[in-house]
Amino acid sequence: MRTWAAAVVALLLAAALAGCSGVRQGSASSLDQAGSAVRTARLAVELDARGRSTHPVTATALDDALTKASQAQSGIAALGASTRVNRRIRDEAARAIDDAVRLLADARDAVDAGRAPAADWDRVEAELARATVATGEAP
Amino acid sequence: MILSDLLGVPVTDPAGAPLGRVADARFVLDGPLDGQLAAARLFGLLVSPHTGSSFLGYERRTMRAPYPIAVVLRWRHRGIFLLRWEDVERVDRDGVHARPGWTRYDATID
Amino acid sequence: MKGLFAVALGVLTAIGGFLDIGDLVTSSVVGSRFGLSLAWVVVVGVVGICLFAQMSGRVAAASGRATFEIIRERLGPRAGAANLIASFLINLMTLTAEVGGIALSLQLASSVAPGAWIPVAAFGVWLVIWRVKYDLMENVTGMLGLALVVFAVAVFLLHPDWSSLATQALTSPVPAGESAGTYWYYAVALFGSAMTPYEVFFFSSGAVEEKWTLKDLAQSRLNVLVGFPLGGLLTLALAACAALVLMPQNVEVTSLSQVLLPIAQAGGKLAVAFAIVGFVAATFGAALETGLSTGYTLAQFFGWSWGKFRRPTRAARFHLTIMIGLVIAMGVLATGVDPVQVTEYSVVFSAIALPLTYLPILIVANDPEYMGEHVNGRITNVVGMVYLVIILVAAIAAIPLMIATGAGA
Repeated sequence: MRTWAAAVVALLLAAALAGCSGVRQGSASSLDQAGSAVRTARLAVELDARGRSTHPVTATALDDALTKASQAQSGIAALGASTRVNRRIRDEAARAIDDAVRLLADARDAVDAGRAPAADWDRVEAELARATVATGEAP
Repeated sequence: MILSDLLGVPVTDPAGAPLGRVADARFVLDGPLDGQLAAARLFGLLVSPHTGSSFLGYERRTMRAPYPIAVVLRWRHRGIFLLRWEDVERVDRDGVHARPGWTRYDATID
Repeated sequence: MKGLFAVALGVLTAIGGFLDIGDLVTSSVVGSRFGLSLAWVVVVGVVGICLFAQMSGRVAAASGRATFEIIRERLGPRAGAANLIASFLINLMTLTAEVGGIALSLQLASSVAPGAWIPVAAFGVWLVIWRVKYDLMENVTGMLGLALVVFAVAVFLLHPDWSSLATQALTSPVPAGESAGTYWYYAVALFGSAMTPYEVFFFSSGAVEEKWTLKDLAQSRLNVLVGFPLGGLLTLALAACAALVLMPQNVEVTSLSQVLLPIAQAGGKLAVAFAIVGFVAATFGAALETGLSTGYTLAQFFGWSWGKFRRPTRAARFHLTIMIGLVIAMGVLATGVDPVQVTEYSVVFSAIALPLTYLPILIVANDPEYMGEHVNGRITNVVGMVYLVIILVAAIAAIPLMIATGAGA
């Protein structure tokens, strides 16, 4: 009975460790999260501009997107990198995510003030994509 | 004493050999009239050699379905018997002790 | 004519009652990540909930007793208590998710932050449970919940490539970029959200509340067998909307606001308004059901008098339990935890607790002491056993899958 329980614990631990990720995978998933947030915000703003969505929905969607991107930001800040290559990968990802957060914050402020956000979505999305390629992990 | 003090408690024969654990208690309604019903009297304990868990009603012959559950529970409770309350000598911290000359009754009912 | 109306009302209420925050979130998350490749899970879940809801309704009608009274009697105090604690905690978690869901839905209508809505939502739920008649409460939230039909309409407005949707649903591929682990993790979550245990506590207690007799069984069976599958269809529509609009843009659903974007794209502001009404009604209705279920489970286990059919002073402990449950839900939400995340965990924990609810029901439905001649038939038992195996596998797989996939990340 006890060996059986030990085996289960070992199996769960192994699974947990396998779920843990290195810098590359951590950066890739943070970039993915931020990218999803940016694309959500872009879709919400476009729908609003076309008059298909209401102001509270757009404002909420932008708020939620900003929250998600900020979580990605703090997630990547917590990644420890021991090698120079890993540090470079992480820093490039962090820069792209910082940009995304700034863009989302500006967009949210614009929508809250009742203005149409003048956001350069393409640039930020391209930055995120570039950083994702640099991690070498499939998104 | 409440029923929870008895359920799951080990049962031993007069020599101290283990017989099993109390899986359930069986009552009969033949006491003096209590309101509209006869008061319940503890008739005996169901003692199961391999487990102290409940038989979930499968001690009744009419309870046969779903088949796989009935098979599993009957196997868990193989060798279950009824120990009449008169055959209980005493109940103490070590559990229930059967009286010398106790009888093993069939636990199934209809 | 009056009979027809009653049937229609029952069916409509069942559709609304099937959907809650768990279904809204989980099916959209799954749709945005897996398309319709997990559609089969919804089908399996709906058949399961139909089977067990109608079984528990029959038990209630035949014996006049609700689920937990019988679980307590049959399992004995110890196993019964373990069952109670697990069911009660998961129910409390679901209640928390639903109250949070009301707040999120109201935010979408008002852009006022959900933190401000949480006390309002909890107070509203309490007030309705305290004051409003059972059938009125059920019918109003059920009918308003029907506004979610807008998701089915939206699927048509989005002009999907039907054959590719059908291929996705029928061949069930694991999409590129997802592992087999996450696929099965979400399969378990979707299954848990369809078969949430509170639906059965509520259904069987509701049968006692409404004083069902065996004569009402035919109608209740009809309500369940038509209403729940239609509710399941709406779940699939939610998934399809996310699959059609969000999946191609590589947007992963993590919030309720994202669930609305496909609706905005398909139908504009009017459709959005309908969807928000549907969200509020579905989450509010489910908060009522889970709120009552916290009272039902505890009161039925301890043998307290319970039920809305009694005046609150006649079932004081029952109502007190509900109040405490709501206060706890508010407290948990006040920590700033994301209600969507609470929801995602609650459906998985529901999956873990499924055997605790469904095994006793299956056993009791076979017990002639309670059921007389209305015990399960052979076919019901065969299907019931098949489901018990599915439920057990899902329950056992849930925690390892959760750890291995980092809760589906």
